[in-house]
Amino acid sequence: MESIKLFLSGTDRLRDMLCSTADGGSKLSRGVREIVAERYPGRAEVEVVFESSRGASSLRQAVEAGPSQLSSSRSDIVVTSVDAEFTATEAASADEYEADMLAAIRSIKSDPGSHIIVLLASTIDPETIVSNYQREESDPNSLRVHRYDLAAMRLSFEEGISVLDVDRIIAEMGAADHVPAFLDYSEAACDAISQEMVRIMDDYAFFDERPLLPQVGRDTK
Amino acid sequence: MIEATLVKGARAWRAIAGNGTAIEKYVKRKYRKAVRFERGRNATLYSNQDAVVVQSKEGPEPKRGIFMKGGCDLPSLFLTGPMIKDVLREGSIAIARPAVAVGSSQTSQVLQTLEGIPEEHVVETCQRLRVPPTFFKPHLFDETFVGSGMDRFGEFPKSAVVLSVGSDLTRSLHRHREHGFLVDIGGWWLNQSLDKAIQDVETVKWFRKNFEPVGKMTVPEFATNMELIAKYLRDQLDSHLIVMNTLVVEPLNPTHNFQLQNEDHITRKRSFNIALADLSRSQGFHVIDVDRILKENGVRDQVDFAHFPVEGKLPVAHEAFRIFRELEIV
Repeated sequence: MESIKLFLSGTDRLRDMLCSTADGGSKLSRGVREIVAERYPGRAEVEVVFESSRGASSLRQAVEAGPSQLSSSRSDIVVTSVDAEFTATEAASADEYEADMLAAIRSIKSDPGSHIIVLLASTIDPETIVSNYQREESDPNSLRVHRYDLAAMRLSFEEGISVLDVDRIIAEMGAADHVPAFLDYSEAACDAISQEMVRIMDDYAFFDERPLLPQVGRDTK
Repeated sequence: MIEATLVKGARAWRAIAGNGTAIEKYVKRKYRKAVRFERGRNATLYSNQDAVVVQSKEGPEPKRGIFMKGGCDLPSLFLTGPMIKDVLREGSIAIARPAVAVGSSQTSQVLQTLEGIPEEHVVETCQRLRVPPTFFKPHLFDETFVGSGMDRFGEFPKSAVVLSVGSDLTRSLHRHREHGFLVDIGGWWLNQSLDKAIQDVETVKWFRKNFEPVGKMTVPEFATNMELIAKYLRDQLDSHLIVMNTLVVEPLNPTHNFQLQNEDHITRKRSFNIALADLSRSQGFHVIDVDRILKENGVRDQVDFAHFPVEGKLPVAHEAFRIFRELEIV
């Protein structure tokens, strides 16, 4: 049976989106590990490892400097999330986020077996409705998410990583019912996100007897 | 019920007489301009497909006007008509869009009308593409407007101008090789369907000979154009500018890896919305956050970013109404 190591680097929110309560999440009775076990019995099992991270800068340090669980052991999939940027002690600009992520991605990709999936974030902030940005001292949360999401999408284009489009999934479901607070998603939304993660893993052939699709990107140097 | 019967009737007519007959055009024109009205306690709402006028029982003065130019997402704002009718106590308010707008709403096209195009340069183009000479006039920058089919209410000042980013996002333009003016042949050939124009091979040959493609607008071009328009409307017309952004996600699109895709296609809508927010900060205009409203409402059943279902239109209108109130237009 194929064993797939899923390394989550992020905040508790990332764990809530992908992990059951048995794996440390707080919302789901069935996370990615359980969905894979149900859907592909006897073919694959998922081992989930979680390491707390405060955004791309923190991930870059963990990858480059160590010691961390990520740098010390090979992971099949490294998962990180845009929402972690909102826990960083100092808010990174989108350019800084992209540069840190780029460095982390290249370092992770130096191990040919590792794949990277970045969870985008929903831009919905139920507390803040902005119609004139001149009145805002700094970027409102929704605009910051747009900038980070865009940077992550660019990285997908450049580096071949995958993005799990949380923004789209929540939008399809209707954010009014599924985003009670900024970056806080309902149980149903988290379940949909977990299902999407399994679909992406399936796309890469993690559950099939064929070679994994490579994350090449535009720059193949 | 009546509309469904009309649609069936139109299909039956086309099956017999073909598409785009003179009779069909005449009926369409008449139907488009037909004014319906709805009386309220303090005001009456008059509406057709291109304009809404709400007039209080106290009389038409003072007048306020909201002029819209853009794509298929703008008509949602006509739903503010009943909201205005319920609160209007004095004067009148018109909301209108040009009857011919889809092929002329890109900001580069709008700005070229401000710079002015000599009439003799566009005569042949107007004839060949069957658009009126007024097509190249700077309607957006006129101080007043009259709602299409609403002549009896007279002119309204442009208290606010509403644009949407949809045209700049999607339309591909062509430039006249000699005179440099721009036309749009995407989706609709100016004011008629593309397949209709293609039937006319001579026009296609003439078009190829005289126009060259300039493609879609870049984000910096959009920012430059929108800034110029915002400044002109503020400084010359004393109008408020309100711009509708766009839904950035693609409902039910399962793509998660963009390594083999076109970067511009992936990032375009989000880049435009971000640029619009930055422009709002620098120029002080208002944005109707269609992206947020539709996402809150749910977009699973949405056909594309510019054509949202009825359930999505009303919340957009509510947000527009809130902004109109904030700007003291209503």
